[in-house]
Amino acid sequence: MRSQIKVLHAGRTIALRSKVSTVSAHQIPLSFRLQQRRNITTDEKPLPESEQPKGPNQDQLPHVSEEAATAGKITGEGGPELDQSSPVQEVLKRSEKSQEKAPKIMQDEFKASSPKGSRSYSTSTPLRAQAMINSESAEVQNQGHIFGLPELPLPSTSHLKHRYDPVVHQVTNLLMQDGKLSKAQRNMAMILERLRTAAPPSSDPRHPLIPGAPPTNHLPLNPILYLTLAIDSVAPLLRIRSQKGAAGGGVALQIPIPLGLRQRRRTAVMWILDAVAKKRTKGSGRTMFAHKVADELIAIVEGRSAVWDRRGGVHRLGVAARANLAFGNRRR
Amino acid sequence: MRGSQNRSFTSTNSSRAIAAPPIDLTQDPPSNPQNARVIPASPSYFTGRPDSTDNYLDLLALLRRYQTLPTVAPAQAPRVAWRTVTQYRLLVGEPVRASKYHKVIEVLQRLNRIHPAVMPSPLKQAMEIYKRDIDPYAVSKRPNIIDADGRAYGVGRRKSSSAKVYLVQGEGEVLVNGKSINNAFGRIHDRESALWALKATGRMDKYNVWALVSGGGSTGQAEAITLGAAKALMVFEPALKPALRRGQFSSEFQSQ
Amino acid sequence: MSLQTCWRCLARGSNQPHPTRWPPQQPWNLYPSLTAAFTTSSSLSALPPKKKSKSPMLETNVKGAKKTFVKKTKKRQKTDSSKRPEVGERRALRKRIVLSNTNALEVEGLKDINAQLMIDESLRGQVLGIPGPVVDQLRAVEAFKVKQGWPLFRRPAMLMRKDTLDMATEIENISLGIRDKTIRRVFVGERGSGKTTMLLQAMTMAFLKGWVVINVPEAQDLILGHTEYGPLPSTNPTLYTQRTYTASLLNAISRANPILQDLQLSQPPPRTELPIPVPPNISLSQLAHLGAQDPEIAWPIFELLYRELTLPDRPPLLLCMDGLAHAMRNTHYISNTYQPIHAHQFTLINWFLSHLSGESPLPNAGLVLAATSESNSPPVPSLTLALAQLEGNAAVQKNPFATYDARVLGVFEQGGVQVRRVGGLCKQEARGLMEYWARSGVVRQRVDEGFVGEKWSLSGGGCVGELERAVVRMRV
Repeated sequence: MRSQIKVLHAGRTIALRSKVSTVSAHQIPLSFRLQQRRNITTDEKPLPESEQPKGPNQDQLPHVSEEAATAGKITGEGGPELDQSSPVQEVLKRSEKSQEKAPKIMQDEFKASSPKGSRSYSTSTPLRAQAMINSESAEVQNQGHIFGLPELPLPSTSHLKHRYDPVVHQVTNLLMQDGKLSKAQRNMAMILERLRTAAPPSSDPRHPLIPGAPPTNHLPLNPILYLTLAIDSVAPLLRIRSQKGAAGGGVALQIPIPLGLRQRRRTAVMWILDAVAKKRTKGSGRTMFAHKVADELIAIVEGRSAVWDRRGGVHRLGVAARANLAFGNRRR
Repeated sequence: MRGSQNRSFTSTNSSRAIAAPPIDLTQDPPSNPQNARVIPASPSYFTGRPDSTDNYLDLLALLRRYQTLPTVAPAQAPRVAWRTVTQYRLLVGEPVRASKYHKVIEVLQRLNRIHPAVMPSPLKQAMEIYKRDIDPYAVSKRPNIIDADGRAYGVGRRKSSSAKVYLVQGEGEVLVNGKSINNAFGRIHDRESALWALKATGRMDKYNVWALVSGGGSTGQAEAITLGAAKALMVFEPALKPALRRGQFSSEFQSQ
Repeated sequence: MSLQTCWRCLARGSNQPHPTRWPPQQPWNLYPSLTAAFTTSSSLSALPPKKKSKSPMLETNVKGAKKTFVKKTKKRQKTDSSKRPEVGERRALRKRIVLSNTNALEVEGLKDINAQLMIDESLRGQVLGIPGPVVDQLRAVEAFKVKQGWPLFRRPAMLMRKDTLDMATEIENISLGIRDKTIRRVFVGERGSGKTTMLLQAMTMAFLKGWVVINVPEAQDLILGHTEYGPLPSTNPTLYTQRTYTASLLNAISRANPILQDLQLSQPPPRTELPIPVPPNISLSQLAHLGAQDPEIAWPIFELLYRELTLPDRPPLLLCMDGLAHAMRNTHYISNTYQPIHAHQFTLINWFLSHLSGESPLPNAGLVLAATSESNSPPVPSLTLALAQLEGNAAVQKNPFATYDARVLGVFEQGGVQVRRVGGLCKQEARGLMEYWARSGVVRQRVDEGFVGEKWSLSGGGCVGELERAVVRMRV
C-alpha cells in the first residue's frame, strides 16, 4: 500500500521541487558557505575568477538596481536594497524545469557561469596541501626537526592515556577502590610479580585454557600473558537476563545474552575478586591482597578454582535456555 | 533634538545634561518675567539617566548618519572589547540597566562593522569611550623562541597545577623544582607522564628538562609538566606536532 | 505458632466442625487431643510456619499498606575453612628472604666473582654472579634484605659499578698490606641508590679475600626495645649489654666466617673475665659458638673474640652497620631512673662507633662501613649536620637555635670518616644491568640506546632501585 502511494506521488515531487533546493546548509561544502556570506570584497581576498573567455553577454553594464545602489553609495544616500529578494538567476539555478523556459540569453549565461567540474580554484584539502609542498623548497621541508622524526602512526601504547596493556588497564581499574588508582596499580604490579615468581602452573585437561595458549611452563616469564590467559579462559561467553513476566504468569524468562570481549573480562575479574574475598589470608602486610588475587589466577590456570564452576553454571543455564534466544532477539 | 547639533557626541559631563547654562537675565531680558523658568538642556533630563540616554541617542544619530557606508562581515570586523555594563555604570555614574546597555552594544557592533578604510573620525572618537581601557586583543603572545642560552620555554597547566618548563639539548637529565625527578614524583607513572612528550617521540635522552611546578597534587603537577615540555619541544622541533598530537590527549595539540 | 485463620475458607476458629472437611478423613484429625487445649485451631492441620523470605529488604509493615524499606542485615560471608596460619607464620612469610626464581632464565656465560676478577677494571658495567658458598655466608650475616630484587632472578648476582671497583681495589690493597690504615666510611645517597647493596658487595669481596666480617644488619633492631638488656657492672656512664642479640651475632659470626675455624685461641682468658672455663687451643669459631649457646656469657665472649681477632697475624676485619641514624638517638630502653637510654650506651653500638670514629683503630687494618637509610630513618639533625660537613656540603649549616647531640657530633669529630655519596649509574652501567635483566627473561623489550636512555631518565639519573622499579617491576 505505502509503496504504491509513493510511486504515484513520485513524479509530482520531482517536477515541483528539484533536489538542489532541498540541500540543507550542512551538506554544502564549508568553502561555499563562507563565500556566500561575503558582504564586501576585501583587498586581500579577491573573488576567484574563471579562466574561461568571457561570453558576449558578460562584462556589461550592471543591473539597474545595482547601478542605483552604487550611485547611492557614492552620494551618501541609501540606494535600493540589493539583497532583499533572491535574484532570478538564483531561482533559475535551483530549478531545472524553469531553466528550460528561461530566455535564451539567460540560459547561455547560466551555462557559461557554471561549467561542471572545471572550476579554476580548488576547494579540496589534499590538493591544496600538495600545492603548498610544491611551493616550498626541499630545504624548508627538512627544517623543523633536529633528530629523526618518529614513524607515524606511533605505536598504540604511546598515547598518554593508553600506555598500559588493555587487559592490565582494565583489571587495574577493576581492582581500584575509592578512586585510588595508585594503590590499584601497586597491587597490579605485585600480582604480576607474584605470577612471575610463583612455581609454573600445571595444566588441567578438564579446564583447558583458550586455544593457542603456550605451554603453561612458559607463562611465568610473561606475566601479562599469564593474566590475560587466565581471565580470558575463565570468562563466560554469555550472561543470563531474567525477563520478568516474559514466561507468562509473572514467571521470569531466562534469556541468554552474548557478551562482548570487555564485558566477558569484566565478569571474569569480578568473579575472581569474589573468590578472593572468601579466601583466608596467608601472609600479612600490603602484599596480602595482591598475593591472594595472584594465587586465584594460578588456581584458575591449574583448574582448581571455583570460578570454573561458576562459569560452567552460567553456560549450562544458557544452553538450557537456548530456546529463549528468539525472545531476546525479538525484543531487540 | 534641542542642542543636538552643537553638542559633542562623546561628552558625559553630567552637569551639562542636567541644566542649560545659566541665563543672564540682564543681557536677554525675558518678555514675560513671570513665566521665566530654567529649562533643561536635554529632554533626557526627565528620564532620570540623562547622560546614558543622551549617549545612546548620539549613537543612534551616528548610525543614521553613517548607515550607508560599506560594511565588512562580522568576522572580519576588528575585534573590540567593549566596556562591561559595570564599567560603563562607573563611567557615567548612573544606574544603567543591563538591557539598555545591551542595546548600546548592539549599535556599537553595527558601527564597528563599517569598513575600516572609510571609518569616519567622529565615529571613531564616539566609539572610543565605550572601549575598555586595556584592550585584551591587543596583547600579543610572546613568540616562542630558543633563547641565547639554548633554552626553549613552555607553560603547562592541568587541574590546579601550573608548570614552567625549560628544555635544553642534553643527556636526559631532569630537575623538577630543583629536585631529581624521583624525589619530585614517587610514582613511576607520574614520572612517565611528566616526560611523555619526550618519551613518545623518542627524545628522552636528547634533552634536559628543568621545570618549576606549583599547585595541585602530584598527578596534576606531572601532567602540567607534560604539556609544558611538549610546548617547549615544539619550539625546538615544530615538525613533531603530528606525533605529539597522537601521543598527548591535550586539546592544545588537537587543532592544526 | 498456630494460625488462627483457616487457610482454605478463611473461617476463624475451629471449635466448630469444619464446613469443608467433614466428615474427617485425615488420620491426624483422629488425635486432636495431642495439642494444647487452649488453642482455637487444630495445630496439626495448620500449615508449617512460613519461612522468612530470603531478602528482608521489602517487608510489609501494615496489611495492605505500601512496602517500606528495612535496612538489610549484613550477610555473613563464607570464608574458607582451611587451616589458620600458625603464630609467627605470617611474620616469617613476610621476613622470608627468597634468593632464587626458578622461572627466570639461567644467564648463559654469567661469570662468578672471585678474588682475581673483582679488581678487573674492564668488568665495569657487567654483572657477576655471587658464588654459592659466599651466598650462604652472606645469608648468615643477613646481608640480603627483603625488599631487594633477589626473588626475581635465578641466583644472586651483582653489578660491578664504579664504587664497587673502587672498593675492590681498596680491599685488595689492604689485603696485600699496601695500606695498613683502617678505612672508615659512611655511605649516603638517595633512596634506592644502592647504599645497602654497597655493604653487601663489600662483604662479598671481603669473604672472597678471607676477611672476617661482622655485620649489624639493622641498627634499628638494637634500639627498638625488642631484645633484653642489662647494665654492665662497673661502668661510668653505665653501659648496657644486649645478651640475646650478642649471642645471635656471635652465632652469625661463627657461621659466616669459616676462616675462624683455622684460628686458634692464643691464650685462655682469666677466670675473672669469663665465668666458665674455656678449654685451651679451641678455634675461634668454637669460641663464638660457646657465646652463641649461652647468652649469659655472650658479651664477654664477644670481647674476647674481638681481642683475639686484633692480635697480630690475624686477617683484616670488615665491620658493617646499616641504618646508622637509628644508632644516633635515644633508644626505647629505659634506665633505672626512668630515663631513656642513649644508643651510644649500648655496648655493641658503642663498640662499632668507636671503630667508626677512629677511637680504636683496627691493628690488622680493615674496613668500617656504615650506611644511612632514606626510607627508614629517624630525623637526627646532628648526624645530618655532621655528614653534610664531612661531605663538604655548605648548604647545611648549623642552626643556632637547635640543640645538637654532642655524642653524635663527637663520633665524627676526630675526622678521617669518609662520607661517600652513592649516586646513579652511568648509562653504560645501566645498560649492562638491563642486558642482564633481559637475559634473565624479566625484561621483554629490546635493550637499545633509546630504551636505556629513557629508563635512565625515569629513574632520576640511573638510581638503581628506581631503575628496577621502572624496568622490572612494571612501574609500581
